[in-house]
This record gives sequence, structure tokens and C-alpha cells, in this order.
Amino acid sequence: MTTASMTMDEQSELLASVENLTERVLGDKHESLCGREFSREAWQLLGGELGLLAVALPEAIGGMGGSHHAHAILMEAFGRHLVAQPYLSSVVAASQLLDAAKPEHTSLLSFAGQGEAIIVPALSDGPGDYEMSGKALIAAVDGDGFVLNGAKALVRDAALADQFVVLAQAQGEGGVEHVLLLVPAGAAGLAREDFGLIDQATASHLRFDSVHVGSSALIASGAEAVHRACSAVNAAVVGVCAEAVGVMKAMHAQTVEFARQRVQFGRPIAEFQVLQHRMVDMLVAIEQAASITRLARNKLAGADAALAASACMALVAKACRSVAQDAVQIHGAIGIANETPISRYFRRGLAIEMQFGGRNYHLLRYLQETALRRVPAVPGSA
Amino acid sequence: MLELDLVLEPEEAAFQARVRRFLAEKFTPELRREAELQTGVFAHGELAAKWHRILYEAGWIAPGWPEEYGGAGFSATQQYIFDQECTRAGTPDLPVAGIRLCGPVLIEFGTPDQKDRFLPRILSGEHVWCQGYSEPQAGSDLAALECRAVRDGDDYVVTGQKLWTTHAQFADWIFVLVRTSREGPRQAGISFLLVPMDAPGITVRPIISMSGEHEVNEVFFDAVRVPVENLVGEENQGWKVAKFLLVNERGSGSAAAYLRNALGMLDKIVEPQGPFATNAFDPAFARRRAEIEIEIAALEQSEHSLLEAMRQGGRGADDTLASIHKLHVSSLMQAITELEVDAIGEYAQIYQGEVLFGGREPSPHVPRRALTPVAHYLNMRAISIFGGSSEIQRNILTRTALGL
Repeated sequence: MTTASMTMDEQSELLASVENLTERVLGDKHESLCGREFSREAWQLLGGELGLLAVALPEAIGGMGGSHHAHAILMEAFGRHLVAQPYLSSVVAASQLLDAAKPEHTSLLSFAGQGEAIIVPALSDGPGDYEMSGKALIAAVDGDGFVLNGAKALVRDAALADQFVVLAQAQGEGGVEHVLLLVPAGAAGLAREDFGLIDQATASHLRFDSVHVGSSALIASGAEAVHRACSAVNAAVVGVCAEAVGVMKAMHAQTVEFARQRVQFGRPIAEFQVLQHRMVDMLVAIEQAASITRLARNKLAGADAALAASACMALVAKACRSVAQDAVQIHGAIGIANETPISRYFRRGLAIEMQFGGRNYHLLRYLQETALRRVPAVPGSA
Repeated sequence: MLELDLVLEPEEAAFQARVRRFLAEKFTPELRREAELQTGVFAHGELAAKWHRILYEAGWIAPGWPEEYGGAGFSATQQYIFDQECTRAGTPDLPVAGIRLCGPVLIEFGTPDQKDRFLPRILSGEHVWCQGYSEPQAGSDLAALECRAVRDGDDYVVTGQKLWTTHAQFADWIFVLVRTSREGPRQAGISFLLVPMDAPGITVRPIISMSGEHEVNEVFFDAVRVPVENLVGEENQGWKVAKFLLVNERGSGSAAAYLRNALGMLDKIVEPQGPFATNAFDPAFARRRAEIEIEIAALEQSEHSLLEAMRQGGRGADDTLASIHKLHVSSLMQAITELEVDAIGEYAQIYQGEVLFGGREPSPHVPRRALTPVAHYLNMRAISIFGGSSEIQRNILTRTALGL
């Protein structure tokens, strides 16, 4: 009995090797990678020399074929070590967006897997545009290419991008349709305004002022474009949930360790039952988050991807909030100081909660997806 | 609904089909109607006896026992499939004292004579068992137990009291933790004894729970003579036996299916054409229900991951996961029963104890679906108390998982 197409043995063998590699790399390179702002040298090290970024990608482009399962393992490790890297954008989401059948796409993706190129999706128009309307960015047909006018708001990692993948609206033959386009970050007419984020990453407001792209920029149009965009978002939601699991595990371990060391009233505060139970509740929440993330990653390739991704985020965001709050509470005043590691994990946790629309939105989407699946009651089935 | 995609091996799928055929044939609509009225933690009386008999005749009454002792000899996966299919079908929750608790203890610690004497009768249902653990001064602090057994020739003489004894009123036998020594640590003076309920000196007094149901009892022992051959394991080694049993009591392979079934009952209460349909469209209710459904899916994945670990040679009973699962199951079950009560609104005020447990005809002025929710809610307050309260589970996890 298995839950995935890969056999259990193959899967666990590959995943175990990914896990080992990740831990070794992050252990060795901790100084340059963890808890710091993005560095391109570190990113290239992860991708090139250490070969970590491509483990989830197809073997044909130099990866290990680990798929969503390997993404999840990497993301969890990145979370545990607080690695600020654009893996989610450049590899997890990009591998869903680009077309494996097109040579220029596969080579771009393989560059992304080597850390040589950073691909950043700008799919929704910005905060609140969960339906990915594409309304704010209009692509007019221009010869055999397109001219882009409009904006994309709050695009995470945009400042690092070599290439954007944008979802825009175009006037097609059958009316308005979506198009998915590759846009070089240095394209003429593309302006960027950057914001610092609470988790040390950056996001940008992108303005497109008659940005020209050629016909080869077109990845997909119509339903196919929307399908790819949805797959990318679902994969990214589950990926970031895996990161949250790592963030929570690290916070929990640091909190237990702190409670062992911290002496008040003449004994380590870890001896107080009220704190012990609180730390157990953190653990119980983390177990639940890890389980739903595992379930969701198994669902990403199937028809229930959106249902599972939203279920996952609804539960993980709730766990992430309570675990982070408990971690800071048990640390006491030192927990709110900027320099304490726990506060950096706390802020990353908060960003994860909100990155793809927050818990309420995902619970609502779960309900909508459930309603779509509801079969009319068959008499006698009750 | 979010469920695991189980990819079954051909022989597993064949097994599942066999279980489904069996249930379709044997779990009749009449049995289903009776099972739906079950509000306690376990089915009892006629219903329990009938379903026990049916499973016994099929050779499936003890899925977890090895075949040499008359168990079904299922693999871990088969057991999981079997549990899941039964629970999905809504079969009665059979009492656990004999098959799930005492049987495995005898298989692990019993003498050949004890096995021969008791195991076949647990299987057949000839012996109904109950569990003598808690006492007035030994609840969560089980090792404080004082019911004592004093050796006198070839007998122990047992004197003391047990409390919260589920189904003592139906039981032929009780397994009891008794104090056989006061030397050394409290845990080192406890023994595990098997006592016939018809032994002179035993008195059972019912305790009616707040739902009006008679599930639990007080059991008094007044110089009850028990032959030493009824000692399980060695004298003063009973704590080891007791803990082995408690891990079995906590762990169940398919708690997710059990909870989904309860969620299914909730859905019937708020069914679209029924009197409580407005709730189904209330956003607050729908969100709360969705949160529960998602948490059940997480639990199902966790159970399945444990099963996979077992298949790959890992240990079955994992103390840490058993405690984590018990915390999840308790809080989810209680959350479901709260929604049941919320769903029927003002009808929740009506006392249904006499209808459910006293044989009184239901009133035509009360919707049928309003009959069980309150009793279910009241009885399920116990789920976070028995088998080690949620606070005790947190104490265990402090030790096993936090390493403190």
C-alpha cells in the first residue's frame, strides 16, 4: 500500500539521500547561508558545486527527479536553517510554469537548478488577487510578439530575478484570454520599486511601460496558462508549508533548549509543568502540520491539488502562528529582541502565513473546492 | 473531502473487496439503525453481542492477534484496511476490555494455561471482560492504587475498591491491578490479577453518567479469594503489564476513520432537507467543520506514515505517537460533539436519557436527529479523561518527546 506513483522504496531511498545531502551542506555552509540576506555567491554554491537546487528537477535537465517530495525536504531544511533563498520562486514554482517540451525552457530551468539563473513568477496582480485575474497587466499583440503595459504588486524576490514569468491578459481571437510570458528582468520599460520584508527578503512593485517581448516569450495561453499558474501556486503553497514545518521545528528545539538553560526561582524553567505542557502542545501542532504537508505533497500531481494545498495552508498557518507565539512567550523578553534567532524565525513564520493569502482565505478556498466535489445525494446512501 | 490516495497492492485490494462484501452482507440495515443510536464510547448489550458473534463466526473478531491464538492473523496493512472498512460502514464500537486489552496482555505475559483457558473464551464472547485500574485515590496517579492482594496459601485475598469500571454489570471477568507490596517504589509493588466477577465478596454498584447512561460502575472487593494461578506475569511486576496495556488502549490504527464516521453523523444531523439544515449553510459552522475535517486528514496521514514505518521494519507501538494521536482524537471528537449540540439548538435542552436508555418512546414533537447529540456530547467528555487524561499524555510527552 503506497500513496505515490514512485515505489515506496525508491522514494524513501532518494529522499533519504536528499535529506543527507541537505543537512551536510547546510551544516558545513551554515555561516554563509543561514539567517542571512540573500547572497548570489551562496546561491550559486548551493546550485553548482553542491548540486542541491536541482534534486527535485527531472533527470533530463540534470536533476534527480525527486519532484514535490524532494522540494518539501529541501524547503523544510531551508526553514530549519532559516536559509533566505529564492528556491520557492526560482525552482518550485518555475518548474511548474515552464514547458518541459521547449528546449529554451528546459535550458532556463536547468540554469535555475544550477543557481545560474533566478526565475521569479509574478502571477497574481498583487495582494487579494487570488483568482489571478491578470487584469492589471495587459499584453497587446505586436507583430509576432507582445507589448506589456500595467503593473504587478508585491512580487517577492523580484529584485533578484533574471527572468520573470508573468500572467497577463491578452486580446485573443476568441476574446480576452490569459497569457503566460517570460520577461527578462532587464527589459526596457520595466521599472521596479523595492520593499524590505519582515523576513529579510525583498518584494517589489513592478511597472510595465510598453515592455516588448518576442514570440518566444510565450509559455502558454488560455486555459493552459491558467492551469500552469495554478499548479505553480499550489506547489509553492505546499512548498512554503514544508518550510514552515522546518521553521517550527527549529523554534521548538531552540525553545526547549532555552528552557533547560534559563534558571528562575532557583531552577530551570523547563521544570515547570505549565511550560512543559505548552512545549508539548507546540510539538503536537508541529506533528499535525508535518502530516498535512506530507498529505498535500502527495496530492500535488492529482486532481485534488488545490483542495489539498489550501487544507495544508489552513492548518499550517494556524500551527505556525501558535507555535511561534509560544516560542517567544517561553523565551520571555529576550524573545522579542531583534538579535535573538527566535525573533527571526518568528518573522519568517508570519511572512509564510501571509505569503499566499493567509489562513482565512485558504479555509474559504477549501470550502469552495469541497462544494465543487459534492455529489448530489443518492437516495438510500445515508 | 480530503483523503489519502491509497494505492493498494492487488492482494490488498482483493482483501478490501472481501471485507466490503462481508459488511454488505452481514451489517444489515437493522444493525445499522441500532448502531446509529449508540451514544456511549462503546456499544453494549444485545447489539454488541450480535456483532461480536458475527465477527467471531467469520474468524475476524481479533484482527490484531496472531493466528496461533485464534486471531485473524492480519498483517498490519490488512488490519488497517479492516478497521477502516468497518468504521466507514459504521459498525458498532465493540468493547475493548477483552479483545483489545486483556487478550494481547495474555499473549505477551500469560502462562500457557492462562492462554488456553482464557483466549478462546475471549474470542467466542463467552467471557465478557472489564478493566479494574482506577480507584478513588488512584486516577491519573495510577501507581497510588491501594486495592490489596495478600497471599494466603494458594490464593490471593483481594480487598479494596475499583472505580469507573466500564461494563462491570455485563462482565464475567475483571482484570485488576492490585497492591502486593509496599516496599520500594510504588510501581514495584503492583500485580496483575484475573478475577471472576461471580466470586464471593464482589459487589458492583452502578454509576449513572450525566447523559443518563449506565456505562461505568464501582466494584468492591471484600476478601475475595483468587487462586495464584490467576496472576499474570510475576508478582510485583504488574506495572510493566499495566503500561503495555495502556499503550494498546491509546493506540488505534484507524482513529481517523472513527472520527470521519462521527463527522458523517454530524452531517446527517444537518442534512439539507432536515430540520437543522440552516447550520449547514452557516459560514461559521461550515468553517469549524472544515477545520475539523482537515485535522482528521492530517491524523489519517500520520496513522498511515506509522503503518509505512511498521511495514519497513519499524516498531509498531510508538509511545510518543500513541500519546500524540490520543490528544488529537480526544480534541477532535469533542469538537465534533460540540457541533452536534450546536446544530440542534434549543432541542439540546431536552433530557433524552429515558428514551435512549430507559426504553421510553421518543416524542413525535422532537426531530429524530435531535435524540443523540447531547448524550454523545456528554459521554465524550470522558474521552480526554480515560486511558490517561490529556494532561497525563502531556506529561508522558514531556518525558518521551521533549526529553525533560
